[in-house]
Amino acid sequence: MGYGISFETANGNVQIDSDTTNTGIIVIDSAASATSVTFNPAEVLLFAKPASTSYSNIKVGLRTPSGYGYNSPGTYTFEDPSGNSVAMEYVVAKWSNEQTASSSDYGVQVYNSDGDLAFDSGLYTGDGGIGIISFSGQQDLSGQGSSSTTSRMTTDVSKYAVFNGSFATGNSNSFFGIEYNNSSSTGQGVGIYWLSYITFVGGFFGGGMGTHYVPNFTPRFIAEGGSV
Amino acid sequence: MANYNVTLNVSGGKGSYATFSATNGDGLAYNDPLDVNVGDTVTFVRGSSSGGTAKFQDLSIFTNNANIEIAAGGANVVRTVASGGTTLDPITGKNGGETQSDSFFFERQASSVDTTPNAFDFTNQTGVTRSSTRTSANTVTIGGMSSGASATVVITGGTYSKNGGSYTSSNTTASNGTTFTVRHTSSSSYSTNTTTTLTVGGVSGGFTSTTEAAPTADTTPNAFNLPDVGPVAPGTVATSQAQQITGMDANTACSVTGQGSPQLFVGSAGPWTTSSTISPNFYINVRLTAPTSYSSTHTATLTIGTVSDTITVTSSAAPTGSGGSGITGGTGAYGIKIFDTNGTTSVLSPSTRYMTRLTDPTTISLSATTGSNTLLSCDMTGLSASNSDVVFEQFANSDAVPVTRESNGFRVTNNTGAVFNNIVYVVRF
Repeated sequence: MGYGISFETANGNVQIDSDTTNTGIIVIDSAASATSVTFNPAEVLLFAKPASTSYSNIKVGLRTPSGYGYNSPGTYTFEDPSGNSVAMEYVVAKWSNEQTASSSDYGVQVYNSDGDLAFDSGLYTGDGGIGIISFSGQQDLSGQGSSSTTSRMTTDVSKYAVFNGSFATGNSNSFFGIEYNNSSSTGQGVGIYWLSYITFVGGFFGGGMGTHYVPNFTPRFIAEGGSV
Repeated sequence: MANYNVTLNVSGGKGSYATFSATNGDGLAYNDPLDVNVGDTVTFVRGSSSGGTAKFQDLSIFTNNANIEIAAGGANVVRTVASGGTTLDPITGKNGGETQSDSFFFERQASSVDTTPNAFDFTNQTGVTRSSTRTSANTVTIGGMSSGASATVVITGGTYSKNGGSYTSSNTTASNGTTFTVRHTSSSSYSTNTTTTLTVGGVSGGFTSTTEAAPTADTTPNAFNLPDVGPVAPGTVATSQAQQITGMDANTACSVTGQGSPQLFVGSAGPWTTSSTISPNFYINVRLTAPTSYSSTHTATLTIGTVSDTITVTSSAAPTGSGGSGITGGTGAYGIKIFDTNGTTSVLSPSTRYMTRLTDPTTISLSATTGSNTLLSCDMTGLSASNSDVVFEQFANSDAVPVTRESNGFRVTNNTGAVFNNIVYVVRF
């Protein structure tokens, strides 16, 4: 490292390194309970968890704004496979190089070697931070939800799951989302699971109705938010 | 029914007169006859001073119109006025030799037909189920009209059953002895009357049902629990986890009191306030300011209807250890901690496993040929399957686009059999 600043975690993971082109995420918005969120999936990561702690099981994904294609900026709703709204607590984190540095006259600002903003404490407005605590690589999760441990991301349902790449269709025949199971007596017990399936109606492949579980197409992250 | 006495005095000799007298009704003359009604009786009497037989002739309005002769010492004769129209009946009185005569005029009044029944009514019902079929508990029997008379029957607000027949709302007729029950559907609203009126020959009887009173709204929620918060930095405004309030079926007042200027927030619109109203199954949050001193608590009580719960916010412990130049240091042995602009919320600490983007978002387009691929060039130094991966920015429902690691980047391969378009970038965390 010839210049600049570098932060690493206790286990050696890089947080900020101004000697590279790394850009991190900065929390820019949060809500304690909401059934919808306005954001641009191409620019931000959306982390969410059920607003209630007294639920038994919640399956939830993002429903595309009416009239828009997936990945378009707009107001997305949190919905279960049947199309019912779900109240969620969420955190929105934006990549730092897609933001403009704050004009705050205190705190810490870090720029990368290519001039991109890597970190700016002045951009936080009381939303705390967001830390990745668990990760499931591409296609590591079977998509079977709480019925299989091969789809479990964590046993701690108090954490946030990333909702980018989830898709609630409003039709129970297909669903790509997160299952928060808060019951130790159902499925594979308490945990956050990846639930992703397509149900084929009679006629496909010469057979009758069947459910095809889809492994996670893109990595899934579990995060801890707030004051870190 | 009235009775009239008619006395005929006759004498025995020629040249004397026969005279009617001592009637107890008015009129003897042609232009002022004695009015009698159907069923009245007339007692024909031979005057006590008469000589010989007294004869009564030309009777025409009685049930028995035979001539009457009452000899000296004979008994009176009673005749009953028969039914029929208005008729003048000149009765002729004569002596035994029929040499004397006099006339007495009766006029029978036309009999009227009574089509007005006696009053009747149906027993009302209260507290009945809404929208239910209600039938009068009592049966009404029509009476009090003339024998054989018939009256028109009309019903409003329901139907009737005549003599146990089917229920209908069509007009009909009734005579003495006809029976009726009535029926209607009670109101769909609480505490509301529904009335059916049966009218027979101008006499009406009503049947009213009153629906049950509305149930009392349940404004007592199920017990709820606000998780305590903390430890948080002193002076921090701490917010509870949202709680869904269930078990009510009506809007209920809610309020919060206690330390740290507590406020509540209902639903997704709020606003933050100290009292409000919450609808069934809505969520509620509470926030309050933590004490400004270390290791202290603030407690607030949220009350919804008659159910309450407390939330306690605990401030963090005072930092230990010391640094130079009067700056108090933390307990960690390494790293750096960065606080938010509010000065209390830390946004980066040594324990944060941050996520960074190693490459800018790149649009890829892979042909439909199975195995078509592209390499995302990236410095792989320090990268492993446990701390890095390729993120697909756009949704896809396929599991046939594997990502593999190579020495100089990540390779994305398309095995879907169709053109694959997406936007990708590499992350490290």
